Amino acid sequence: MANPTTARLTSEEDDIDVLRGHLQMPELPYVDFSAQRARAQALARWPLFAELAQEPRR
Amino acid sequence: MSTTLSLQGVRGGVGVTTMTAALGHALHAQGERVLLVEGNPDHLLGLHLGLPAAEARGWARAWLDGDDWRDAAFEARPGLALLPYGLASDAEVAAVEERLRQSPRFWAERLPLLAAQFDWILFDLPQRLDAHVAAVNQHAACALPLRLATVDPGCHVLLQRRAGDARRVLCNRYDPTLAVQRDLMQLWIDGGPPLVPQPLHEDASVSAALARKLPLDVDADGSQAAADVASLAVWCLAERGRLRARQGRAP
Repeated sequence: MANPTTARLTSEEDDIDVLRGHLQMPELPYVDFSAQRARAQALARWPLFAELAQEPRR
Repeated sequence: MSTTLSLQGVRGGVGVTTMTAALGHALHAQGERVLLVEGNPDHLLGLHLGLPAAEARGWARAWLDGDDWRDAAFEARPGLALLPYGLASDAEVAAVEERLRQSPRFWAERLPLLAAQFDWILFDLPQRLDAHVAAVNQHAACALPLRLATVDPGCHVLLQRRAGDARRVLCNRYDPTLAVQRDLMQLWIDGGPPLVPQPLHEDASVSAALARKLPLDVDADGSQAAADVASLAVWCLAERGRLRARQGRAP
């Protein structure tokens, strides 16, 4: 089975991964604020998505 | 050595048969030898490869009639072949499902016979026939099992209910001009199911190609959908390389 994490890695995260390796700081935190904002706006626009986002994953 | 890929819809009507055929043509255009196997009793896949609508033969039909499944294969052009399901009634489909439950290694035993002739074996899988699906994905150890979803709220709910399914999701009929689809895609990219990086965009030329009985890349060369499927084929080739590299590293 393919590794799902690879497919999810955006080019930005990939850059951050390179930086972590270069600085030898594998735990370097990285928060994608623009993705977080887009996600919050999407959930605010569509009540069904907000409802699902609150459900625990089965 | 062939690579097995399967497509199954997250729900019905998301375009599995059409995209299996289009991907088969696109891989063939890349110089790959491709066999398309119809695992879906709808028996529609052959229409995408030029078979007459009245053609009734197929592997399941042959199995039911006690004939050799290999006699039900068709060559669309050199290096591109098709094994249709065959016309079967609902009761006969239920009988095939039961037989596959009894003989879950049906495909596992037959695929090695085809491995030398084809680089890719693509399966179009049905929605609700569990033994049909398991015979390919579990028992024949399908290397690239994919799910196909349209970017809509219904698929979103179903994907969330099956969050434990590790198969990658290929998005079909994506229309980024619609806010609801843009937002859903954002949610899927950011914390959703594992995605195939190349989505297939909404394109009216897809159904027109079927009505003309021409492959998408011939009927609608230069269309968005044809370009997307060509990119998907290139991703499949790269993914095969990654799978082989991982197998090479395995002890």
